[in-house]
Amino acid sequence: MVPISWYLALSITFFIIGIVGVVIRRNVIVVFLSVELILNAVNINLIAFSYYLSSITGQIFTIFIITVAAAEAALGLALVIVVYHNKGTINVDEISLMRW
Amino acid sequence: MQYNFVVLLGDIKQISAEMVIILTIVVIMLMDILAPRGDKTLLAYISLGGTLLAALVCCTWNGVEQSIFSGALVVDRFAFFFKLMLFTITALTQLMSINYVKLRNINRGEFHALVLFATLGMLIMVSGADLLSIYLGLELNAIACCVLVAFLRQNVKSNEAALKYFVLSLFSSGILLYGISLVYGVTGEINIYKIARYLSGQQNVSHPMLHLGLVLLVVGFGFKVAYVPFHMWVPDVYEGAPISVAAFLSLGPKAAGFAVLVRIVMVAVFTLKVEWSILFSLLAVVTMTLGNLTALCQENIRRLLAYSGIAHVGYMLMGLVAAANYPQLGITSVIFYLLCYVFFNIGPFGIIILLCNKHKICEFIGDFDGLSVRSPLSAFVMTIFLLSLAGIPPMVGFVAKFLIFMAAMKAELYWLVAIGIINSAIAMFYYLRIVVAMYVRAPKPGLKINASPSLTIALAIMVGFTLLMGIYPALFIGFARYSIATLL
Amino acid sequence: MVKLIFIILAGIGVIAALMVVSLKNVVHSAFCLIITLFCVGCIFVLLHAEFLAATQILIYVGAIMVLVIFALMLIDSRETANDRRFHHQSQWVIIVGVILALEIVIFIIPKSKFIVNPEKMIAQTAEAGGNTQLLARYLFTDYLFAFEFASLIILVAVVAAVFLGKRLSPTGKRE
Repeated sequence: MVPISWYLALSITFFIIGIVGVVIRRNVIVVFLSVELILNAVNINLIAFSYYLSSITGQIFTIFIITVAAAEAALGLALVIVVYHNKGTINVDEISLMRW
Repeated sequence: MQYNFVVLLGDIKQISAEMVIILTIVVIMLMDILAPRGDKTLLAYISLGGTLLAALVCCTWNGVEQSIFSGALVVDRFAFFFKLMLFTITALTQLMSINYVKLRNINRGEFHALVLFATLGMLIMVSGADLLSIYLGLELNAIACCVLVAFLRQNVKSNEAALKYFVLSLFSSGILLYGISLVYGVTGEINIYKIARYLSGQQNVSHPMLHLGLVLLVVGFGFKVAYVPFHMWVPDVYEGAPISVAAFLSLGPKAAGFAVLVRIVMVAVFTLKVEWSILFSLLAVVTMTLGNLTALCQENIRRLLAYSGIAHVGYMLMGLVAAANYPQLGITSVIFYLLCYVFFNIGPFGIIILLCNKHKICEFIGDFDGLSVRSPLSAFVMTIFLLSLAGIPPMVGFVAKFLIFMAAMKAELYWLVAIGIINSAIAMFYYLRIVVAMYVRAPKPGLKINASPSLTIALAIMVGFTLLMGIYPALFIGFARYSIATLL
Repeated sequence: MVKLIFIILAGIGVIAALMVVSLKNVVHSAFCLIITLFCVGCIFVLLHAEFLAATQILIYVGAIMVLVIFALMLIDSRETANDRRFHHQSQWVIIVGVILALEIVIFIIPKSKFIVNPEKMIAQTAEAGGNTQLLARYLFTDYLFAFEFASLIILVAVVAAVFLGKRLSPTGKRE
């Protein structure tokens, strides 16, 4: 059996890759994809814990995370298209995301 | 796992206020489709009526505290207090919107439905007893608010603000979820009360993954409440969003976020109070200092209100730090602060709406020059709000700040109080700058008051409560104390 | 054997994830993410969560990623492909990220003890007749509220997407 720490290590790796991606990339779509990586890290965690703790809650939680991710994808891509039509770019520092 | 129909009906009865909101949303959306060309002002009144009806239904709660839907939600005094507060915020927003949406040409059914959707999300957040329902409420609120921010579709600023809000909301909820997953992994539960029970049963709760989870959880909530790592959206969103939406965002998610934070730190992980009090004290210092210092150099009133709002969150976090040692005092001060903050923080947005017309939005401090000559009454009202925000003695803002500082003093957080007092002194400067502009400078041409009955009513309510709470704060402090009595 | 499969899946997934955040072309990033999501789905199977593995493939790969690629078609991503990919000074972020990841994996994870007791889950699953049955039993009783509430989230997302996607005529009025 694969030890639980392996799953945790994998999920931490995805989580950090996702965070780094959100912070360093300029293209909004790639930022969005990086957030999906973070959500997958969460899902791995939840399902691994669900199995090792013998509690179904983690799997239920994952269903809802996937549902919400789908809803947010619809919203986010509609928003990206609106911004692109008005502004002609989807790079985040041109739309001043990191300004204080 | 046994679940029968009678139990289900009983549970649904407990959330009848939320059901009223859902029904109102359905009615609004149906009417919007059935009469596509008609005037949508009727829908605004329907949504306002729905909010008031829901508030009334909420008030009929019989005072019995219980958890419903197998522990997904909890009906208690604390949730009751925050629900009333959220209904007030929503009703004020709707009153301020009625005329404003016509002015900006965004008077559409979706607007009124989305405001109610956002409110519904927050209602679930404040009464959520497990992390799953809290998360779902938070996401409903985030999606609805995001569209509201983008509602001025042709306005590039509004679009940018919405995109920024969206990306940061997604990012912060990712971090929040990672925190939740770690807490779940350590405790095996997502229900707040069960987590508390598990942790109080352990001898040694210092589990490194639990600490990491707690930090991520608190950081993730920073987006809703607008403290430091996730405060960057606030100024841009206040500047880009429709003004009444900015007013809504400045209070609603903040109040709901604080309710959830209080529930999590005071109930679920109270055993880790040493750790989270250090975390919150750091966040409080950074948040209020950064908010106040950047507010000093703002010319745009909406950005100024945004940064001052961040600073106010810093003060509230101080109360949360104090609550680690004196739960009663600390939490009372925080939620009293939130309660009066509702009235004097939405107020200035109302005045900005009052001054805007079809062609121009008065949003710079320079636009307020000589307001006292043009309209003495609105200048006076604005002064009341600003003095409250600054926390000058006869006003309620002073009482609220005094309570927070007193709680922090009692918890022997002298350094925190010192930083808080220095910050309040800095804050006074930029609030008084607007007062000086209104009373001392010569009026500019073209400044016109654009009053409508609904906006006047909203302003009157806000001024009335600001003054009433300043004159007789004991009543409201008593209510705050009552609402947390069973939580702690 | 299971360990070997895990290592292969995790390796492919991490490499694809690194490519998601580093590739220049957005469409390539999206395809790499699909590989990652597929590997994560397979890892769910290793964890005896068959229903979620199917959901992962169907919804993530089948719906969300198709939506992303569709959006990429609507906006002209070639124009942005020539631009700078990263923010200024992103190397510091990468260094901090690597240090954090190593620290957590090497120091924090070995120190944390988790309850390991999968036998009960296996028994429960066998008793319910499968993972899907077990999930459904809980989803429609204990988590009924969340299930119903999720429908509202989807509703608001539909309202949002329709509102934002609706075309405006030049005068700002509805067509």
